Amino acid sequence: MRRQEDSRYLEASLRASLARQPAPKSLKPQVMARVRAESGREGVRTAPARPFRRLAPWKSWALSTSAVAAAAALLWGVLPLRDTRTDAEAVAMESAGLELAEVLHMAGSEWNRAQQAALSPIQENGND
Amino acid sequence: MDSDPRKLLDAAIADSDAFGAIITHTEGMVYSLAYNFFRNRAIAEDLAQDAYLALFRNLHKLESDMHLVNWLRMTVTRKCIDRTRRKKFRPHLDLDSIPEPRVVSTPPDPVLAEELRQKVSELPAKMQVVVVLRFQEDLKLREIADTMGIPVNTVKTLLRRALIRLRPKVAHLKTEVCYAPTGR
Repeated sequence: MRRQEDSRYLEASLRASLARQPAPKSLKPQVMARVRAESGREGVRTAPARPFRRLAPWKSWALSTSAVAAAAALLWGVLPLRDTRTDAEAVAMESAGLELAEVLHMAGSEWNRAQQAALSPIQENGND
Repeated sequence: MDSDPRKLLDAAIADSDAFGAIITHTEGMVYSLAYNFFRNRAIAEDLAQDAYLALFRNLHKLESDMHLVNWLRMTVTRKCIDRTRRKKFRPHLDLDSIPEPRVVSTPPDPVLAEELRQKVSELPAKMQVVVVLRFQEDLKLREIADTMGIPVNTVKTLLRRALIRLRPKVAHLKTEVCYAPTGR
């Protein structure tokens, strides 16, 4: 019984002790000054940007049309260049290939001759 | 505030000067939460200012005036706990500890009231928040749990332990205060 009385008394005392206090009068002006400073820095407060929100139908149509047009223009401009570039590259590769084959052939011939020149006395000695 | 659940919120979003109305409605709660936690007017005022500035930055995230009040309550209690952790704040007795005039009611015994305030401020941070939310804001255990983001059973445990710590002091003081003046 005594314990219950103490509990009730404790709770009543806590409620009274922890009752709300009047805020100082300086609190509101100081907060408002900081709020005004912040809103002044940011300019007019607007709703946050939503980059992934759903677009209006006309906007999505306009965006997709312009994207297709841009892609077509790009293809139209790039593909002919690519063709000529490919031809030029092919010609260059062909001439380079021919030159290389010629050089290799000449080098091979020289090497063959050198080999033959080097081996011929040994072969002769071996035969003896 | 009850007639229009977004009245304060919409006004403040439209015009930053209307933010003052929110402060007028809630400053007692916000300041008292911080004051009952730290027993220091300067810290309580500083913390209240920070909480209001955070509210101003997050106005567009709130759904109603009630949500706004709950958000403020939650923000202040978290800021109190954070500040305690960061600076290892320990309450000290100074001019700020002199009791202020009560708004709601007069404590039954000024000595006991002051002793209780002191003992509450010496409790661990989370225990202190539970006691303040329970007896200052008169919140239910579920509401305290939601505000602090912890399970209801943890709130019950914290409150029970806090009252166990406070009870001997109260019993002692109650006996002293009640019987001492009679001289028996």
